[in-house]
Amino acid sequence: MLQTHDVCVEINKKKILKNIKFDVPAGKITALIGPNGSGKSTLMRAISGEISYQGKIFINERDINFMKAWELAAIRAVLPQNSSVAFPFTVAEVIHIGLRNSTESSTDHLINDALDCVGLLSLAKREYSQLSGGEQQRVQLARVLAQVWSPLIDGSAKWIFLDEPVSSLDISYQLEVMNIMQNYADRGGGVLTIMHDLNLTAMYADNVGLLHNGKLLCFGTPSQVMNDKILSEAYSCEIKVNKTPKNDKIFILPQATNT
Amino acid sequence: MKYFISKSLHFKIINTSLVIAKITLGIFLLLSSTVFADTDRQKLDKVVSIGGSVTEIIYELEEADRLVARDSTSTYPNAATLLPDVGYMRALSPEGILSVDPNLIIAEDGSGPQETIDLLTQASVPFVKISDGFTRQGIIQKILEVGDALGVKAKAEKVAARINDELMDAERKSNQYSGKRKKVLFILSTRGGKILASGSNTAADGIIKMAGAINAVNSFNGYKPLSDEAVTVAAPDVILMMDRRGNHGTDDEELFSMPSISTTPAAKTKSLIRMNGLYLLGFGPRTASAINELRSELYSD
Amino acid sequence: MWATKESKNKSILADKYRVGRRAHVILTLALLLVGCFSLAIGPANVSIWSILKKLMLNELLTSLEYIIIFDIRLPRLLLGTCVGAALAISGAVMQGLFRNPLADPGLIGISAGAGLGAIIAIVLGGIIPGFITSILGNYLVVFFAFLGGWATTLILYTVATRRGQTSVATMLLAGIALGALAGAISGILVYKANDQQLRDLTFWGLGSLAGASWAKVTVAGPLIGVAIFFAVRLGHGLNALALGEATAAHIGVATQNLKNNAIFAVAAATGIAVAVSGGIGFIGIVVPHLVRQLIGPDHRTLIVNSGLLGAIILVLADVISRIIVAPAELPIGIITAVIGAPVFLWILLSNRKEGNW
Repeated sequence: MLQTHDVCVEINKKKILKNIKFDVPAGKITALIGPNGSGKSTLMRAISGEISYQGKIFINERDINFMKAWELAAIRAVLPQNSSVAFPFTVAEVIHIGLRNSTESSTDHLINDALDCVGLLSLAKREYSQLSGGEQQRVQLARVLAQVWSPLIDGSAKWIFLDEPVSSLDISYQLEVMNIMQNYADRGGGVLTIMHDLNLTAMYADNVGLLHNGKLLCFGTPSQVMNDKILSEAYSCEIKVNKTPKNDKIFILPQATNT
Repeated sequence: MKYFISKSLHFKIINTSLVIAKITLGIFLLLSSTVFADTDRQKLDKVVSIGGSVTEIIYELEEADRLVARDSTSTYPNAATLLPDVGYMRALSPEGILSVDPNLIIAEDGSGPQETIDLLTQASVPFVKISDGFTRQGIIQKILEVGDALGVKAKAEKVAARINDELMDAERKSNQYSGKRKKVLFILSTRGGKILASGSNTAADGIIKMAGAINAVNSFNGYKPLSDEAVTVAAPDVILMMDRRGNHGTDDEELFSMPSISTTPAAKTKSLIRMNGLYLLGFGPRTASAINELRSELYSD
Repeated sequence: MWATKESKNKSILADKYRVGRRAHVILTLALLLVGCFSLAIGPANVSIWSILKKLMLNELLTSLEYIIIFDIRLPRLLLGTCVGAALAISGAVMQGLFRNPLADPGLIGISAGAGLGAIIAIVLGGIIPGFITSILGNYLVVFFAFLGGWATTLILYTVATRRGQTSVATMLLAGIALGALAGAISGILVYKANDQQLRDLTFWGLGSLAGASWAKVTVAGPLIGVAIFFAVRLGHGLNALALGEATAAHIGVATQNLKNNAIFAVAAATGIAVAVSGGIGFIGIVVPHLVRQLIGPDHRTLIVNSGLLGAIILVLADVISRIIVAPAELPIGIITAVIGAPVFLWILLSNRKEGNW
C-alpha cells in the first residue's frame, strides 16, 4: 500500500500541491492524469523522495521520510521522464549500476532477464548514449524492472513509479510497456504512473487519480473518474468519453471547438 | 613573523622525519648508510656563476677560464653566452647545476629557490652568496666577495680599487652638475597598460641617484605598479626604460600616448632613455660607464 | 540460444571490470618502470645502473652520486607521482561529479582558487593568528591551498548545478569568472608582497617539480594519500551519478554525502598538488579521458587507473622537462600544456559531433 496523508508542496512560496490524500493499492496499476501544470510530476517527485513536502507519505506502512536512500531503493524503483547518461556506459552497465542496492543475488541473470523483457537483449553491449530516445526509454525501464525484479517478497510488495513511461515510444512499444506493467501488477507489485494518453490510461489503469491545480480532483476506477463532465472541467476543453460497442471499453475523443 | 613565513614556505621540516623518510627509501633501494664517500677537494676550477653582475665581475677579474656554466641573466660579455645555461637565477634546478660538475657556485643574492640551494649545499659544492647593494660600496663589496670566493683576493682588491676610482669619478661628475636636477621615472614594464615603476631600494633607484638625478617615485620599496594618477603626480622629466631585444618593449609613440604618461613633462619633451638592462641595473664593473652614459643622456642639453 | 546469450552478456559486464582491475596491475608495473627510468635519467651523468652495481658490489658511492639519486631524483620522482596522481584523480572525480568530461580543476578555476589560498598563506602568513600557524606548521600553505580549492569548488557547483543537472556553459563561464576573481585577488596580494615573498611566488607560480625536496614529499605524500583514499571509494556513487542525480538517489545513493565527499576529495587533491608544484595544467582532463577511451567509464576502476596514468605521464613529462634544455629546465607546465591542449580540443570536437551539448 502506498498512502499519502495531506501532502502539500510549496516551491518558491507557491503552493504546487494542496492536501493530496489517497491510498494506492499494490497489485494494481494506478495512473495519475491531469493537464500540464496540475502537479502530477511534483507529486511523483514527492513520493519518490526527491523533494521535501508537508504531510506524510507511507510505502508499505513505512514513512519514507524516515527511510534511508538504500532502504527506499530496495522497495521502489523510479523511471524518470527522460534521462541522459553521462560517459560512454554500455546498456548492460547502466542496468548494473542501477542494481547497486538490489537484494537479488545474481545480477548477470537479472540484467539478461530485464533486457529480454523489454526486447533489447541484443543491445546489451551497445553504448547507451548512441541509442535512440525510444530505446533509451526502454533500457531505463529494464533498469527499473531489474531493480525491483520480484514484485512480491514475503507478502510485501515492491513498487514502480513511472513518469510518462510511453512518451517517446511507438504505439506497439507503448502497448508492450503497458503490458509489462500489467504483468508486474498482476504478480503483486505496485505500479504508479503518470499518464498523458487518456486512452491508454482507460485501457490499462485499475485506478486513476485526476489532478487539477495542485488538488486531487477525484480518485477511483477509470469509469468513475473518466466521464465527460470531470475530464472536460479538468482539462478545460470539451472531451467526449465513449465506450466500445464490443466490450464496453472506455475511449476518449477530444471535441474540436468548431464542430 | 617573517622568520616564520620563510620557514613554512620552504617546508623546512624537523630533521627526524627527514631521516626516517630517507632510511625507509634507503632500505628500499638496498642502501646502507655506509656507502658514502667524499669527493676530493680539488682546485676550484669549475665555477658556476649565477647572476649577470657576478659573471661580469669574474670576467673583469680575468678568471673566466674557470667558468663551466652561467645562468640566463649572464649575457655579458658575449663570451659568457657560449657557456651552458643552467636556467633563470630564481628558478634553478639542482641537478642541472650539478650536471656540469661544479666545485664552486657563486650566486648573486636572490638566487633560488631555497630548496635548490639547500641541496647544492648538501652536495658539498661550495655555494657562495654575493651580497647585492645599489651603491658604489655595494659594487666594491661584490667584487671583493667574488674575488674571495675565487681565491684571488689581491687581484680583486686591485680591480676593486680601479673600479672604485671610476665610480667615484663618475659620482663626482654627477655631483658637480650645477643645472636643475631632473626627475626620472624608471619603468620596468608597461604590460597590460600598467606601469611597473621602481621605488626606493632598487637598482634603478641607485643608478638614477648616482647619475645625479632624482627618482620620481620614492614612496615605496621595490617595483610596484603605479596608478595613472600617481604617474601624473610624480611628474617625471625623463622616462628611463630597458631596451629589449625583439619587440617586447613598448614603442616610444605608444608609450607617450598612454594617458598617464601623456600628462608628464617627459611626454612634452619626448624624453625617453633606453639602456641595456644588465648594463644599467647590473651594478657590476660597467656601472661607472653606465652612470656616465645615463648622465650625459640626461643632461645633454 | 539462451545460454549463449547469457554467457555473452555476462562476459561484457564482468570483463570490463576485470580489464579495469588488470589495468591497475599493468599501470602499477609501468609506473615502477617509468620511476626507474626517471631515476636513471637526468642532466647529471649519474647512471642508476652503475649505482646499483656499486651497491651490489658493496662499493662506496660518491656523495655527488648519493645526492643526485637520493636527494634530487628520488624526491622529485615521488613528488611527481603524488602530484600526477592527485591531479588526474581530482579530474576524474570532478568529471564524475559534474557529469562532464570537460571538467578540470585547472580549466574551471579550482587551481586558481587553491593558488589564491597558497598566496594568502605566503603573503599574509604574518597576519594569521599565531596559534593557527603553530598548529599547522609546515602544512600552512597546503592547508590554505586546500581551503581555497574547496571554497571554489563549492561555489562553482552551486552556481553551475540546478536540480542535479550541470550546465556546461555555466560551469565553464563561472569557472573562468572565479578563476579571474582569484587571479585578481592574488594580484592585490602580490602587490603587498615583499621582495622575498615575490621571489617565492614567482618560482611557485611557474608550475614545476624542480623544488622537490624530502620535506615537500613528507608533507604532500600523506595528505595526497588521504585524498586518494577518499576519492577511490567514490567509484560506486559516481557511476550512479552518471545516470543523473535524481536517478542516483532512486537507486539508493546518499547523493548529498557523495557530493560533499567528492568536492572534498577534489579540493584536497588539487589544493595539495597546487601548493607543492604550482599550477600544472591538463593532466586532470587528459588522463581520465584516455583511461575512459581505453578501458571504459566505470569509476570503480577509472579513478585508480587515472591516478596511476597521471603519475606516469607527469613523471615522464618531468624527465623531458629536465633534459630537453639541460642544464637549464623547461617548466613542466609547458610540456603538459603542449600535450594537453590538443587533447582538450579533441574532446571538445568529439562532444560537439555527438551533440552532447
